[in-house]
Amino acid sequence: MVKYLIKSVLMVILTMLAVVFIIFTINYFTPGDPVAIFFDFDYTEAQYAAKAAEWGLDQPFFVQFFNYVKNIVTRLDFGYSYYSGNSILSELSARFPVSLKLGLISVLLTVVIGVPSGIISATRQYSLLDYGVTFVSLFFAAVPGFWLSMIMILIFSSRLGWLPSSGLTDWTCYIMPVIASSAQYVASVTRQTRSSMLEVIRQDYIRTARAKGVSERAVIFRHALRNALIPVVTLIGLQAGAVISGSAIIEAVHSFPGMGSLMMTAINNKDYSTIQAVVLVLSAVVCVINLAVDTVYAVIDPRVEIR
Amino acid sequence: MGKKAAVRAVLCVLLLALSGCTQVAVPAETERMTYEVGTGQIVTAVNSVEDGIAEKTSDSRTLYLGAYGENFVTSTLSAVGYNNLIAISGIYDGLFQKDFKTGELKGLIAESYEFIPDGDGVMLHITIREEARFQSGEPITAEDCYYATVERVNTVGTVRTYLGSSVDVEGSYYEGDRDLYIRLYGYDNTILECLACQWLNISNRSFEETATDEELWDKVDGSGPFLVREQISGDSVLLEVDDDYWGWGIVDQRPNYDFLSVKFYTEASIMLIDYENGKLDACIGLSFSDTRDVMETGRVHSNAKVVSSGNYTVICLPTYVEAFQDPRVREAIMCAIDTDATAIAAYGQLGITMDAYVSSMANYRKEYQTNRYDVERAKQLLEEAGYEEGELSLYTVVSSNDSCSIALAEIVQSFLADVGIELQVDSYDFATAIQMQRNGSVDLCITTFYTMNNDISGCLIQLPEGSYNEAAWVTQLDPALSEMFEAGRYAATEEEARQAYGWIQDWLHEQMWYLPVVEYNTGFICRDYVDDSEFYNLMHARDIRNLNLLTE
Repeated sequence: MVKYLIKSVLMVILTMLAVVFIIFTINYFTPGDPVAIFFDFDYTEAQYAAKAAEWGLDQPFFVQFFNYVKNIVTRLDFGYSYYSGNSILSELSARFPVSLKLGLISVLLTVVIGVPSGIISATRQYSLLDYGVTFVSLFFAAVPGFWLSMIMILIFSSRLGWLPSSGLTDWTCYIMPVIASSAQYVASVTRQTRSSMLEVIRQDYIRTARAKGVSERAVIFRHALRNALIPVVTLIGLQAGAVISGSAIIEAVHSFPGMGSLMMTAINNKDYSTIQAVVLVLSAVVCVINLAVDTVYAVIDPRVEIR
Repeated sequence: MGKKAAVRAVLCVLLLALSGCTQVAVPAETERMTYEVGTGQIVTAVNSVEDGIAEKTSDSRTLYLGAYGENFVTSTLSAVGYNNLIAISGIYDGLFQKDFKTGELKGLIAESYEFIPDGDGVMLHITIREEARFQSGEPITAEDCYYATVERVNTVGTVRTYLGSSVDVEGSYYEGDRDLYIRLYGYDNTILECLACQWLNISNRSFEETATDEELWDKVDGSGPFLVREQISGDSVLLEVDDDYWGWGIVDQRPNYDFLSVKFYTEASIMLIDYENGKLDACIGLSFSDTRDVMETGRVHSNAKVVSSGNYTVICLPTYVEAFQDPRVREAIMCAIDTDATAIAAYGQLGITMDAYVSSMANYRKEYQTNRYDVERAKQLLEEAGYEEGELSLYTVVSSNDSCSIALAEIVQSFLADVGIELQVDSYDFATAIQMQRNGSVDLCITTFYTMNNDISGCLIQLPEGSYNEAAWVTQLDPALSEMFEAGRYAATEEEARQAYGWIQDWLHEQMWYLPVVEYNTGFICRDYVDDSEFYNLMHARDIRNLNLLTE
């Protein structure tokens, strides 16, 4: 197990290095002069040189890359925003916990609602309940999150006045963004759990367990679910990364002060350094989640470790 | 079959329910008025006329303001974007302040000033108020004022743009704690206006030189009446009225609230929903559709107004496009576009049709018949110039961040198509679009001008030679223009300035390199318990300190 984990961590480090290199290279060669943007294209030569030196932009490519990686690894220093001149780390440290919280609650909601719904749907196949779950999950799978956000704002904020439409003042502010960002994933997990369960409960070993007189509850939860969950865990892992990194539009609709809205603003302002840092952090999140998923695999299915 | 029918029924009910959930705002009985304030800005107000005023449902000690956009900084060191100015205008004082109602400039930190002849230049001597203090209690000295004004001519691009050719940095100095001497190469009639601008707010030199990023974020030592209590990145700023502010009763009156909460919205329509739910007392920067709605139907117990911002959009014909060297082609373009219709279609209530070549806030502004729409004449002129239908093909870019400017470009495209000119329109993010215009990558430049110093020189030549928009840079058109800009700005008398600036505007009208299209309004709404009677500067300074709560 330890060997497996070490191998996975090394893979994550290698992947992150590759990500940093690719993002840095794209950023480096993207047209647009960060110093000129910072000065709004109005600067003296001395000012330009001083700012370029301060940001290390007067160095050759590989020196810049090495310094960038070194600063991140040793000091968690992502540099300064090319637009506002603020420290990116201070922006990230304010925004990341907000997005992380939003993402984790969404993933929790996905698991808590998606998996049981899928199980119920599979075990009561072709019942009215199954049709109901199928209909609802298809509906939410088809509906984009930002549209759901706007509709919820119209109903629950504008019309009924029950929930805050925007900002982050208390826990109620999370309700609509969480629903909007998790609805599609809940639907996918429900559908995946249902089909996995249906496949597993038709296997011979399930029939054998039932023939031996094992209770239906034990058959479902002990024998069927554990095997059916393997593809579901993969899906949840992928979606956890997506929900944490991909709620930009939903955050913008709700004026939610997270990473998504930071990235949207940075894109609008062509603030390359901030975009680069946000993408890096989000990539790291996806890598870490994948590592966690690999670990859970090993727990659920011991064959993974042996392989 | 029964199950399928049930599913269909559920679907129909759901769709009906959703379609019924459109936003319902309560229309109000309103009175509408339009008037001009001292700065030249046109104000259109729509006020509800119920008896009495609404009861404030939120915390009575706090004024809740919503603003479209995002906050970044509370330091004068790196003021970017309009919303920074919302906070900055409350946290800092300048040497002077402009009264937007009357258009007058009055001393704020400056107690008095005088222009003294100084060789071939002029010395502006400013006396600092003895009682002026920073929020930390430290006195505001002439050294701080020198640091925040004269030194910024060298370090801040915007300041250099406006004052670089006027202020002799080497010849300027301070004496003791209260005397600041700003040497001008010649008399500049815009200098006080510039010193009233937020980019030149007075900050504490010793604080800013030693402060950490965190301190500059939410622990700044300002010179104005509001203390920063909390700033949440991308969300809000909470300001507290500083009871120890030196200027109460001297340059300002303490407002009737203790806290000012400014919440920033990335989606303007959500801001109005919060307003209608009682979470906000006032909103600034309403969206295009919300402004139209609010100005047409009003809102109960609300005062809404649109105020011209001074920003205006112009279609510039770059000199590097060969076709435009022919005056007939330039006139054909002017005649092809109905600018009045374009302004109204693209901007609705937020647009004002242009009848001049400069902002409504600019001094010495002259009015012209700028809309020369005449399709037949346009076609005839193109034919005379030797351009068959479809032969002239142009390219432009606009910012994708602004839906109104995209609409404007598409309308222009349609007008030009009517006379056989093909216009290809691409939209890019703001920074790229600006950069492409500045690099001269466009054949037709749809660009926005504004002025910080309300001067025609500020309207048309904002940035120094070499770094400016190659497609729209006015002084490249004729050397005489540069001379006239200088003659207007550094004129000793009003009459001289009027003559010089009159010549420039006549020249622009005659030569037809520029086609003014629309000046923007900014939309604002507040509850009737908010006193907005002094609040007109909605765009550049967004001077929130002029908002108050009515006591009764």
